[in-house]
This record gives sequence, structure tokens and C-alpha cells, in this order.
Amino acid sequence: MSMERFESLLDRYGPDIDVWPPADRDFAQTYLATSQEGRAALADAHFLETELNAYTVVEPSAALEAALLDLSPVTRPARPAKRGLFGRFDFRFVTTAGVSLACATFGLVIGMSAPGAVALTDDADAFVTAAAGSYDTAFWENDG
Amino acid sequence: MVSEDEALLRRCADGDRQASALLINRYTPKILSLAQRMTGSREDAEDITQEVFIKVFRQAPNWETGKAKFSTWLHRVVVNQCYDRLRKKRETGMDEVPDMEDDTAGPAGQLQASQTQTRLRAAIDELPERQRAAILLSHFEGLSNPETAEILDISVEAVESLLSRARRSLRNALSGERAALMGQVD
Repeated sequence: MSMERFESLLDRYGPDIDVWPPADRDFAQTYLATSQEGRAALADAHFLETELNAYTVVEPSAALEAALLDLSPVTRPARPAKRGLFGRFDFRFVTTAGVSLACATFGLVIGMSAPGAVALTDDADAFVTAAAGSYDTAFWENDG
Repeated sequence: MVSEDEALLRRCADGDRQASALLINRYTPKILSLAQRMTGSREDAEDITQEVFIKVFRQAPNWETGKAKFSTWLHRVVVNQCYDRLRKKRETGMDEVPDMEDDTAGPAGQLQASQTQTRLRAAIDELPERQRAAILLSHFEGLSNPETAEILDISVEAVESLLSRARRSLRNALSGERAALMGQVD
């Protein structure tokens, strides 16, 4: 039972008993003092740690790093310089609602600034009276 | 707050080659070694590294600051690419002869050590994929159990269980090698 527990702790925390939780560390030290089997398991765990540390991988080649750099995004082309009045204007803000509002505002301004309602003048009254007086009823009745 | 990695990503997205080179220098050794240990193949590891950087550069303009830690996201992409590569190899029956690169081969006096490394690498290759990923992320990348759990998308308890089983398997696989070495010493 003790060996089972010791191996379980060894696999969970690794071979450095000093970093185990205090209660488990006390158990391990007591157990190792009397168990040859426990000491062999600990030596195996240390051996594994050493071998894992020795498992190195060759550094990436310059060719691989160059190939990776070729995959990187390229610089975005600069926007052409804007010229003139309309070139300076940012048309992203032009929307249907915006155009409608501008038209309504324009109409309101024009309406408000006009010289009042158009009134009939005396000349206009005389013109209408003359036109009514020259109306030839017979001419229209004999037509056709 | 924008991390150094995130700042580099932004510059990459704007086409800053110097930033791309910095990101490549910083992460290529990690990606390559993790992929090589996961797949047991240098060639596959280099392919995976390229696939990972394609994803990095594609993601760069859309990266959301503060949503995830870049290195955690990157490790997840690497592990998933390795899973995909191993699955494809299994499906095509190309995983039977692992490409075991022997970096430790050398003088005759190092023969036993070399055999031990070969045995270790074979034992790592024989681990179930999730145990392999857990031991590699924990031991070689130095990640904490919560970080490993986030990358593998499992609980911390599940990571502890995977690590425990992986260490037990590797320890058993090497016990004969240690005994042989001890015999040589005696």
C-alpha cells in the first residue's frame, strides 16, 4: 500500500521531493528510509527527468526562418493623395439619410428666406378684369 | 493593456517585416521542438511550423486584445496541427516508421546514452496523444497545469491524471535502460 501511494505521488509531483506538499513529503522521507523498492522507483524517476532534459531538438535552420518570413503580410500600398474639393471630402459619411436631411434643410432655408407670400398686385387685378370683359360669348357658342 | 506579442502582431498585420521576423525568431524554436517531439519527425515539424505561421499571419489583423493570451492560443494551434498530422498519417498508414532523428549519436562511449535516448523517444511516440501533449507542454515548455489544461481544453484534474500516467509509462519504459547503465557502472 505504501509503495502504491509513493509511486502515485512520484508520478504526480515528479522526483523532486522537496517541492511535494508537506504531508506527502514527510510520508515519502519516512518511506524511503526503509524501502529499497521506493528508492529504486525514485532513482528511475530521476533517470527519466535527466533523459527528458537531454532530449534536445536542433534549432530551426536559416532556410526555414526565411521561408516563414516570406509568409508574412506585405506592406499595404499607400492611399493615393487626394486632390481638389471633392478629393478632400470623405464620402464614407454620405448616406441616404444624410442626403435626405441635407435636401430638407436646403428647402427650409429657401422657403424661409423668400420675400413673403406672393400677393396679387393692382396690375394683375386690372389684367384679369380686362380679360373677363373681352370674353365673346357668341363666338364660343357658334363654334362648330 | 497590449502585450508585447500583441503589439508585434499588430505590426505584422500592417506589413512590418521586422515585427514578423521578431515573432518568427521568438516562437519558431518552441513550435518546431514541440511539433518534432509530438510527431517524431523533423520534416513534419517544419511543415507544421509553416502551417502555424500561416494561421498566425492570417489571424494578426483580427486579433482581439485581451481576449486570449497569444502564447496559449499559439500552443493550442500547434497541438491541433500535430493531432491533424498524426491522424492523417494513421489514415494513410504512414506512421509505421517514425522518422527518429538521433541528435545524440556519436562516439562509441556514448552508445548506451544514445540507446537510452532512442528508447525514450520511442516511448514518447508510443504514449497516447493527449498524454504526450501533456508531458511535452509541462516538461519542455514549462507550462503550469492550468495553462496546459487551457491549451488541451480539459480540466486541471484531467491534466494531472494525464501527466501521472505519462510519467509512469515513461519511467517503466526506461527502467531497463537505467538498470543496464547501473550494471555498466558496477
